[in-house]
Amino acid sequence: MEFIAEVEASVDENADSMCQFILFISLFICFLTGLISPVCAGERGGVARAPAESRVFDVLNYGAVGDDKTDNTEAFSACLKAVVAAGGGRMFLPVGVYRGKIMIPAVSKPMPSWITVEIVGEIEPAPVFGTVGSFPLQSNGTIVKSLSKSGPAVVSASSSPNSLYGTFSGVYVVIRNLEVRTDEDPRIGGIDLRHAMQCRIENVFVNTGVYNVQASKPSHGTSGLTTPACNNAALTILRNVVVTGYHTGILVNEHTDGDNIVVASNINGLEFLFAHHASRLGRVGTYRNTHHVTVSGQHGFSIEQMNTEQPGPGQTDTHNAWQTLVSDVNDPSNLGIADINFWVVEGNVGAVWKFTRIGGASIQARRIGAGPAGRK
Amino acid sequence: MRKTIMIVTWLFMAAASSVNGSERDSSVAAALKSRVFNVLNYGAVGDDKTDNTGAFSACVKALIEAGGGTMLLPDGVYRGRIIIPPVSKPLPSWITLEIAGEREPTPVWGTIGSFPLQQNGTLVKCLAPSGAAVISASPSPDPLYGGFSAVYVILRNLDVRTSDNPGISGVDLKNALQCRLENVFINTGVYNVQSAEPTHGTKGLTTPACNNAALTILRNVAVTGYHTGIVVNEHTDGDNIMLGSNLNGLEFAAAHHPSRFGRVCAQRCSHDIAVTGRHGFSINQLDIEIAGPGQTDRNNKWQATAVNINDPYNLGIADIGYWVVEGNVGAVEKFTRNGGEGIRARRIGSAQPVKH
Repeated sequence: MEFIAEVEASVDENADSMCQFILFISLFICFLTGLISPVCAGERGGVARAPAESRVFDVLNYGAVGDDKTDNTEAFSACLKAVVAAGGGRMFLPVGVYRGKIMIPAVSKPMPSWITVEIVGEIEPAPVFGTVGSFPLQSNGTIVKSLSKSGPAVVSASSSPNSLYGTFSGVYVVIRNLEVRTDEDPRIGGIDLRHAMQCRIENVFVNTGVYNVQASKPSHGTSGLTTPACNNAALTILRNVVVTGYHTGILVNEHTDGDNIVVASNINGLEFLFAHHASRLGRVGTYRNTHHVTVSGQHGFSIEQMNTEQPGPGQTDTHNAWQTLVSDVNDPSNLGIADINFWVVEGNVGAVWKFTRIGGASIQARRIGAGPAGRK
Repeated sequence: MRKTIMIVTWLFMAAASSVNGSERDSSVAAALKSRVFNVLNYGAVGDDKTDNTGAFSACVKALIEAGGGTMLLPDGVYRGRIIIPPVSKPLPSWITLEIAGEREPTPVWGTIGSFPLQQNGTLVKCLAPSGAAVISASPSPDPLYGGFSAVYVILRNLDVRTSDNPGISGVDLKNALQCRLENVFINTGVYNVQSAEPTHGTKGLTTPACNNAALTILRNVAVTGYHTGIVVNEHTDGDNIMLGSNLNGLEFAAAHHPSRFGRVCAQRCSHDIAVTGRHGFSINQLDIEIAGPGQTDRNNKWQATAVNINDPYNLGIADIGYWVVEGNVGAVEKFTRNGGEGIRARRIGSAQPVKH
């Protein structure tokens, strides 16, 4: 601040002081150099002065290249290693298409407790999905892409052999502003956090590189997103998450709290697994899934508004006929204990009074605006 | 020529550096004036030793003089208190005061085991045995409205810490007009399962009690180890609220307007919900865990749940969708209440709401 005043004074006085000017430029360069990383790391507002030890780790500083060619798996691992060694922090990915996998290493003993690992892109992804037409997916924003045919998901947390609790890795994983992409009919998952203790996912688009209406039938049983399966300190928050083109859009473990979720053109949109604790979802958009909601283990849950669309007359062809609705709720063994408020739209038709379920004897489902909920 | 270079350079620098707190005459400088006030520039030291109360106050003062802004706390463990002074007349209206850490805290809590809390992220810590909360808004002697300080307080990415069985509260905004809390972990420095019984009647968080322009938004807030986790005043809107090992999880105080919660998780609280004043509220999903057989010892047996709802004077008018898990047992159908005649509570998936 003193500094600015000094510069202003020298402008006003038009003082002939070359030394002062050179000193100023040198200081200025030092100043900028110190600023570059926090400014690039740019959460709005940034930091006015770089803290002694910034907790922002830019992947570019670890050799990552967002050119849609370079395999960045090792660069990501080096960056994550630094994040974990610092006791947590933010892995920052500037705009680019990054090939490779982000594998969060097992965080375990002797670490006494868990840490926060944030994986953050520069801007929000463009969630290109819909119920009709054909559009290419964008290559804008921060995209992490793996076309690998086997192995772990594009972003995954590894299980821990020497865990603080269960076999879980001692991490609270925060993922924000990221697009995660695999191949069509993917052989690997998108984000697999089953071995993490906790997570929060915000503004994330998990897809198979193709507009969902044109997606091929997923035949490898992979999932777009798997939430942490931990049953102590369980915390899963999903906000503004879109998953398209997988066998299962989101595998829901206990304590999941989601809102503004879209699952489109998956065989199972949401799949609820066995859980002691309940899960809660605000608004869920489920479009062109074979089964919008599948229950495969006992799970209590509530969906405040499940808004669905199924393909109408003439809205499927031989390639995407698999996207024809079989059931809104698929719970053949009656394992779900749930409340659902639904709204169903049929393409080319409009809002309809249909709701199809297989089993689901303990699921209270009612159309928005209807009388009291009823079991099947 | 040199003058031009200097001006260009200066502009670039002003844009890049977000220089704080400086008085500048130039209109260009004024337009570029940053509203981010880094506590390190006011003498704060995050070394878990230095008392930063004075530095925090200097920073808040500069921020208020600028008409609002963000008080930024880079990573560190900051001892001391953040006391928001009364913002009052002649200010014609209220201002926004944001207190933000560099990144999200690690919410170390659970239902079993023993883990130390982390010292990572931005922590504001005060071990004082009495006095004001770690973060508080002072009442105003010359207010714009009521006795309230004319501030919209935003807290983001913070770990707020006191000592075990705390003599002071965590965040007390009852005298603020409005607030929003996001990614905030309020604790007593000890993993909740191991925390001692809170005997001082202190609170993790008290929301603004203002009844004009009332606005309280809570997102991703965890409170552990206090007598009362959150004292809920009117117009509170919360989601992803976690209450671990408090005598009262949520306490609803008297309110004209209702409050609304999405998901609330209450674990090992003596009373998950306490109602002490007339208050309308809805909780879409109240997920509870009660300590199961063998899950308490002498130090933490106070964490055994007495009742899920404690509303002895029947002051609550509410809808609750609940789910109860007993440790080591699993999901159970029990749900207990003391009073609560005006509360419609039903287990998720059950046929009809049940009145008492």
